[in-house]
Amino acid sequence: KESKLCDTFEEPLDTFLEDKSMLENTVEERTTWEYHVMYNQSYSVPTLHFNAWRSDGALLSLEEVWGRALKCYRGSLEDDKWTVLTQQEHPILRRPFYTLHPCRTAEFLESLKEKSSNILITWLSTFGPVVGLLLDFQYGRSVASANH
Amino acid sequence: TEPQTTDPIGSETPKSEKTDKTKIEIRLKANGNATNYMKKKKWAVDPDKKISSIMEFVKKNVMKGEVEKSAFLYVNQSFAPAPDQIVKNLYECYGTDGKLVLHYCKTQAWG
Repeated sequence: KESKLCDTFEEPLDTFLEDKSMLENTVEERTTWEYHVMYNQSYSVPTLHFNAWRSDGALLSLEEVWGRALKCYRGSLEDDKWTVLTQQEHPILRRPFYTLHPCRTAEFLESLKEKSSNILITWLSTFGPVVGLLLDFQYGRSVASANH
Repeated sequence: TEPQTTDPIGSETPKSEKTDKTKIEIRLKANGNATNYMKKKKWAVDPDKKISSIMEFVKKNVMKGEVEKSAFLYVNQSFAPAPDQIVKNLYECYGTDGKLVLHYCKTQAWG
């Protein structure tokens, strides 16, 4: 069984299984997630672009990505699922990436701007977990503004 | 005393000690622009309680009619701990004066 992983996509950020014999015995599915933080010029906010692959190289579908969203966010995502999480062309790499639609990000960050010395960390800690990107809890140590 | 309805994250205790078995005191405060907020701010939770359960709790008790939103919790009003993080770790890192202060924000984040 030849692995197709090297043929289907370029430079993954995560390491993946190279020993194929391990794949036959495992019942656990291993997925690889790749995240890019981009600045959206139209909305003047950071946005999170990401993709996820199964170990056979196949991209996860939108439904599958939704299925993996944490329960604590699901209620709020259910209603306008298809407008919230979309697939768009990556502005630099020019291939499809999933992204959380940024139209409300500015308004959301407005309420937090004053207290944060690093709005990017504030933003990433909020939006990242929804799509599987978890920050170590110590990241927040340096984020409180001096006035706090 | 206040009536106890569904109180999944525990009841109020006046003091808490920093031992593993004892509950941790948290303060739930509304972020600056919140229109509804919980009157009761002081809560005692099990140290191994996850942030996600507190998010659910805030959602139920503050946002009763607004099921389409999420409640986001912040330490130092600037950092959202991951939902699977436990209170004990956050208290040890961010707790002051024997309590952990969490601000909740229920502004719509996506769309």
